[in-house]
Amino acid sequence: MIETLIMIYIAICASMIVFDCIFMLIMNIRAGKGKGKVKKIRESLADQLETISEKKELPEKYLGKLMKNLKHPVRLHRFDDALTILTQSIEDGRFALPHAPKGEDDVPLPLPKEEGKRYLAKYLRIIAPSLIAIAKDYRGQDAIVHTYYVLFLRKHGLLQYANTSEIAAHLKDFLEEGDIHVCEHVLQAIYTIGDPVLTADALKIADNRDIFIHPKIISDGLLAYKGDQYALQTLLLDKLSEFSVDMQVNILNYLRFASGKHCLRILDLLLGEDTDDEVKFSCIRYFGKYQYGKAYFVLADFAKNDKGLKKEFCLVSLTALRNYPGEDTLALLRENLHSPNWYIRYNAAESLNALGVDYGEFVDIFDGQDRFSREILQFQFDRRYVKDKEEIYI
Amino acid sequence: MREKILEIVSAFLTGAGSGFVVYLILYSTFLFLAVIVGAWTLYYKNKKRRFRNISDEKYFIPVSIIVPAYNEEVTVVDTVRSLLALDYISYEIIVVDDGSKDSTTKTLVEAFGMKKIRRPIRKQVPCKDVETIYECFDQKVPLVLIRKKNGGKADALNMGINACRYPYFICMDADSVLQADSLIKITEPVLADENVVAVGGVVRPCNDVELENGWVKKYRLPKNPIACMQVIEYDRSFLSTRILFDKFNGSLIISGAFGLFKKEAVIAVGGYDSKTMGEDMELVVDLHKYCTVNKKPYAIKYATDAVCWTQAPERLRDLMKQRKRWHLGLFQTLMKHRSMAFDFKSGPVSFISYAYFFIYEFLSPFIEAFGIIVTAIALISGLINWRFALLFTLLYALFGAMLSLTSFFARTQTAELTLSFKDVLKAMLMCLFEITFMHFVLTYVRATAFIGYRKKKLQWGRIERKKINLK
Repeated sequence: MIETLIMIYIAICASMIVFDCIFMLIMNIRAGKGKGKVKKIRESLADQLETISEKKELPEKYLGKLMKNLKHPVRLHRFDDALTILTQSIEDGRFALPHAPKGEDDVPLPLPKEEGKRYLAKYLRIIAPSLIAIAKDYRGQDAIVHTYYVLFLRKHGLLQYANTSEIAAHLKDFLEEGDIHVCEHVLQAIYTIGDPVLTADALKIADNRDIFIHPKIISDGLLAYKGDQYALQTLLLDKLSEFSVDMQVNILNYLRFASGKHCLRILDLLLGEDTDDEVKFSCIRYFGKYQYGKAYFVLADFAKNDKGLKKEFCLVSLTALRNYPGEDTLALLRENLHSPNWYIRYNAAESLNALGVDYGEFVDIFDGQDRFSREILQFQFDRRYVKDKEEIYI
Repeated sequence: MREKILEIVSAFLTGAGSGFVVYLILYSTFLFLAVIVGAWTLYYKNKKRRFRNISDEKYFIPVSIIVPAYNEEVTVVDTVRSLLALDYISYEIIVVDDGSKDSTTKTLVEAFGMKKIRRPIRKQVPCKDVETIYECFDQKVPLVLIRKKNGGKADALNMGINACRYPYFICMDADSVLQADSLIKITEPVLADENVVAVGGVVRPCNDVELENGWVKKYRLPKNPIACMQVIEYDRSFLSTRILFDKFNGSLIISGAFGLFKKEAVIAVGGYDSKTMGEDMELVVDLHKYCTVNKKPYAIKYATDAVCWTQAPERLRDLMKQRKRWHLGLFQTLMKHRSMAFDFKSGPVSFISYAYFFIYEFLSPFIEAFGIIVTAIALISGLINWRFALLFTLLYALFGAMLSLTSFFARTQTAELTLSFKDVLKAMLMCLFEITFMHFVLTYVRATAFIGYRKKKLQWGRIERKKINLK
């Protein structure tokens, strides 16, 4: 019985090793074969670009065959590789049409970069509807393939040539069903379309999904939006209350990195009674980046209150205040150096350092009894010294 | 009367022998399942990579890298240089010199032109006092060197936690090198799940491997048989149980050589325990316990493609010392958290992970030694057919070797490392060598680890350091 069991295990292990060897073999063969097929596709792509350059129509048969072929993920993968190489060679000014005139050394003359880009864009515009149409075939497949299809569309900028409402429907479906990677790539794809309403809708779908999308994927991702950024920002601010608190914070973080044109609306939000604290913190950070006179008094007010629940507001405001130089700010920061809270002292000292204060202005603190404020300030001066590599005090 | 005694002895030997065989079968089954799950996971990940199912944009989560060092003057500069070359933007490097007796601090200060700075450090977790702090800002990312009073590795890590400014930190060894994409890979689970409190990376021996700019330029198995055997052993370990345990959030170990932690969670459990030798395992078990008791949703993940290259000891003496330390660390952690043993509220982490570590990691050297002795007596006294015993031993060895080989192949193939024919043959031989020779040496080492236990407490594990083959 035991022997039989072990024999079975050994048989399975041996078959796994055989699997490993076959896998290795297949991968090597596939890589070799794949290279040949990618080369063939590249040649076919060059032929199509030549047809376009001659102002002729692409044969209908070609589009039908392409659509049929690219329903298969491995073939889509090869097409992607061929298209990537072609795009790169056009970018580098190395691409030559198959029947291009030859130069002195009998090598076909490369196409001027701009001309190549124009033909490629036209080619992509022609094939885009066929490639979007196969979205329904990819929807049913597993998440890996599903994600890859969206990535492919985005990577080659095919979405901008498609009918927005048609592709929007597909992308929204993907967003509602896909895993985290699908969502990430769909959102990126939507940003490339540059439609503010579609983007806001997509964010709402993502917000309502029961999956975690890291704040960075939203806030950093929105910066890649290809359309009118101001129009998107205004729309997102208009619809802000429709989003969850987490999404509101992500949108405000995006606004902070993108534009300082929304100070008045952000101030309203900061002063709003119903605004969540987390959202308010984001608003304060916004004013830490973009100076806005009317916000100063609010920030200063927060910085004066380092007790209880308001401690967090004080902390964030102290960092923001480095953007508001002046006697009052210096006095406020100086006062906070004596706070019993380590982080408040730290932020105050860091802001003082950012404001470029002199060592001489703080002799009272360096000679004083408050060791904690002295240490934290000393650190900031030391740090500036190390950074600037110059002696700023003795 | 004599017959009765003989009968009892015979019954005992038969019972013990059968028990030992059952133990081996259960262990084999578990390992077999683990290897299958591990290999499947790696192939699936490979498919994902082929179809570029990875974050296309690089979302950089800021991390602090803590490098505890003790007498590391030979390797520390190379380690820091390799960290500065990582394919990542948002990070800081904190080297903590735990009162080295050699010139670790001096070497670093000179190599990077670091400047002394008076920096207050808020002690959120206990650690020994600071002696001097150096910083420099003219590198790609901030580099901090803290020289402190000697207190052991855990104490040095705690100092790093106190000094780091980002919400996640990475702990690593001063003799290790992170692969260029390792930070991107190890932070991926954090991007995918907000409840992640820790992520373990893969540790692979780099003896005789050529690394260039954080990437493997030439992969080959080490010439030294002891190091070579460890390559096989590491690959099996990081492919099998770790991936299996990861499936049910049951990882109990994140290697001290490469792991990412959420600072807030680590501070909540009081940081690393400087009283244990296995501070890495202890911290992970502590995190499990803390989150379960406080009903906090949490996940401890394993990033199968975040690679750290480390030096495996090449001398048997060094290897024995290292394994003794690991075994004592395991014992201390299991004892400290013994309440987890039958705590069904903790879920599979208790009745699978804890049970596995207790029976098959901690007790295994004793069970195996006992089993071998009993089998030998039974064989001598003719209670077992020697042909059966020989066949069983051979089959078991072959089975173990096959599992190791499967893990090794799965790991190298999915990491796209090219093996020469010579290395394939070498790997096969090493798998047999490991199961027929090294396994027994290490069983002996682990079984005798408790001799001189008190003396070894809280010392840094030392092995002979060599320069890593970096370009």
